[in-house]
Amino acid sequence: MRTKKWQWALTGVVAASLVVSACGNSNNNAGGESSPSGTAPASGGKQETITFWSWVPTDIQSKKVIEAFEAANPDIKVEYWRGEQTDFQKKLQVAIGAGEGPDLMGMQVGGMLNQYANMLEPIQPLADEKWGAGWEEKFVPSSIDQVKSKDGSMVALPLNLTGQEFVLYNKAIFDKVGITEVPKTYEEWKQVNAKISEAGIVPVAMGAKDTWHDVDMFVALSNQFAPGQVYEAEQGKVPFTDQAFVDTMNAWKQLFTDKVFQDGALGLSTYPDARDQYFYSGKAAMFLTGSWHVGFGLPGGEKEGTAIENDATGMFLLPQIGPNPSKAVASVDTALAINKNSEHKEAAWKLLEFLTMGEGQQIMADFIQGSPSKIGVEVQTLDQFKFDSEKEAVGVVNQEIAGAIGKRLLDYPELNNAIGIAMQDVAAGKDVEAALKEVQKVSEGIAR
Amino acid sequence: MSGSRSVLSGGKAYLYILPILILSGIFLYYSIGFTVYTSFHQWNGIDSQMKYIGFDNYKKLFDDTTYHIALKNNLIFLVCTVFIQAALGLLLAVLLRAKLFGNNFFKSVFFIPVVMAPVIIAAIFRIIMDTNFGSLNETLRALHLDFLAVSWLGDPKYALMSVIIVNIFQWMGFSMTMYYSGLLAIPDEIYESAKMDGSGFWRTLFRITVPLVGGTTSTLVVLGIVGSLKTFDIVALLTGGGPGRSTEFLTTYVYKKAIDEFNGGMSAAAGVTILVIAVVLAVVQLRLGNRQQNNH
Repeated sequence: MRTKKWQWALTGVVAASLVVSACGNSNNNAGGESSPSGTAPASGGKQETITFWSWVPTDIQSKKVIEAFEAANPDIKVEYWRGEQTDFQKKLQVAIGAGEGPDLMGMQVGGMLNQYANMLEPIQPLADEKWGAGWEEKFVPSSIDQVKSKDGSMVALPLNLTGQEFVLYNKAIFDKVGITEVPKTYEEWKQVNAKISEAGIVPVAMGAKDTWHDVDMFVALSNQFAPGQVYEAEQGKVPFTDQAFVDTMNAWKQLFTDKVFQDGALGLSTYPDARDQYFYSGKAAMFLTGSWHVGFGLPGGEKEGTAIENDATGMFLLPQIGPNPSKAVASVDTALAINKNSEHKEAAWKLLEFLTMGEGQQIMADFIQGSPSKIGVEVQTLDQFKFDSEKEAVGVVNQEIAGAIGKRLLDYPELNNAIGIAMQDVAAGKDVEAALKEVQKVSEGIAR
Repeated sequence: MSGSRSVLSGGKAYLYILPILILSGIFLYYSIGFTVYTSFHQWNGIDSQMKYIGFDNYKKLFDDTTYHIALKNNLIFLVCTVFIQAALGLLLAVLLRAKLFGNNFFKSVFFIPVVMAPVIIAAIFRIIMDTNFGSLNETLRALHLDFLAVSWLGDPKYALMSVIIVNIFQWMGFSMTMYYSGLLAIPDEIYESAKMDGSGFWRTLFRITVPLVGGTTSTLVVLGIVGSLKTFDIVALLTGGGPGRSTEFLTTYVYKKAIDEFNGGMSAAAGVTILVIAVVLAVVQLRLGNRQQNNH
């Protein structure tokens, strides 16, 4: 009898605990019931904890920048979670979809920002209140345009700007095989590659498995054939079957058939595969990447501990392949936004302000993860580079980003996917016109 | 009196299964219901608002070439993995049952991939299968078989096959273990009499072993069908569905629609079709299995 009672009690407890655990989480940091002005006190003795998720700052960067913020704001503790962009996107989407998520979050401009816009705190009124009218002039103008959603409302602030398409190169290998100048045209690039191949080294490592990288190439390359036309096509004003895009795709295909890219490029991700297995291991002389890699040779940077640690490196812009000069395409790399459902908006604002307008902007600029979004912030760490070529590369990259021909990131995620897949198909041998027709079909289905 | 007792004990029985009912209700049936509900809506997966659009997501889905490719790839994957995996598993189990020297060691070796995280397996195979520096191609070149040193993951002609091979590598040990325990239930006398009658290895395998482990095969086929429809991690990590759409699976399609394209509605519709396919295939297989058993 006693055993039976125990069984009943145990069953009841298990059932009750399950019900409680299932229902108990619904009020956690969610619900959208926080005060609209987000006036949770950031001071008053008790330390307030805010959560911050992003892909930038990286782990090394976040340690320094968050320590500095916490030292300046002892009443706020920051719990930072960092993930690679794909992991970050997954985690954020699930959390925000459930009405939860961090107080402050990284946001990619373009497609991602437009999708999240309704769930983000409008920034304009906050910034007007805190910084006064005309604050926008303190930021790089294009960066301010990009943090606005489709309906024109500002929902984030820019942390930094980065551009594509750049080539990170191993100067030690270039020197060894007698290359004294970086290639500026396609013919020069092929000649350089031939010399490197003769030495038994892979000339260029490209991670074409990533559709995001293929789309970056499409945007950069198409601007060499018809400057600005890709943005017209993005908005549905020009078809993707236009001759300019046929030429772009043919040029892209040629990079594979001419073996400019390494064999098997379509099966290799940019990070970590192409970067680690090819470039950082010293097996490849060049690596296609973005301007965000220009600071990788700083002390404590990614280069440390790799096989090319003691090799001088540098960066140059993608050589000219089309009829028009090669130009960078640049976008806000990381925008920062406050969760509309946050219960710590005031504290989140303080961190946002610190990173975009305050000391954090300088700290991030010194890591050279991207070009500063705030006008007048100069990189103070150039002397820390071990090699002159790496120091010079920062100047090259910043100059190219300043003269960028247009934005890097397109507005519509389904279009990005379609272009990326079409590029992989073309590289694998599919007919260019047929591939572009599929992109156009997707483009026509977009509700703009 | 006995009637009221049976009602009472029935009620008590329901109470015992209450925890699992609640658990599966929340994590399984609610999720399925929510997915079905979402599939009739336009939703980006983030906003609190959904817009009812009837069967539009399904219409778009059945009109989408990528979905057709994913279905085809899933079917090829299913047939190859289910049968090759089961066949190799049975072969290994039979060999290991022969009490060879070190068979416990080999059992562990073949089983290790089953308990390894797919992320590790994929990372290792990405290195092994690299076109230029991977150990697979290096070995082939060393053997002067350069023509076989292809781009395993970067060429649409071989990418799906490579994914299948890696998946078989991972799950072959599971089939082996299942068959091994099935084989232990077969009395030694049967094999001894077969041997006395002059039956060789292959004849014994096909005439005695295979029919006697029919139940295990049936279980493995059902698990294989459901497992292959659920396969996501190994594909996502090895090829991401590419190059192009050459290794697109239903699950990678669901993922891309939801996460990359913010199309929660269409992603849910694709998810519902996976569920329907899994249920239909499982029912068909179980019916066939039952019929076979009844015939025996």
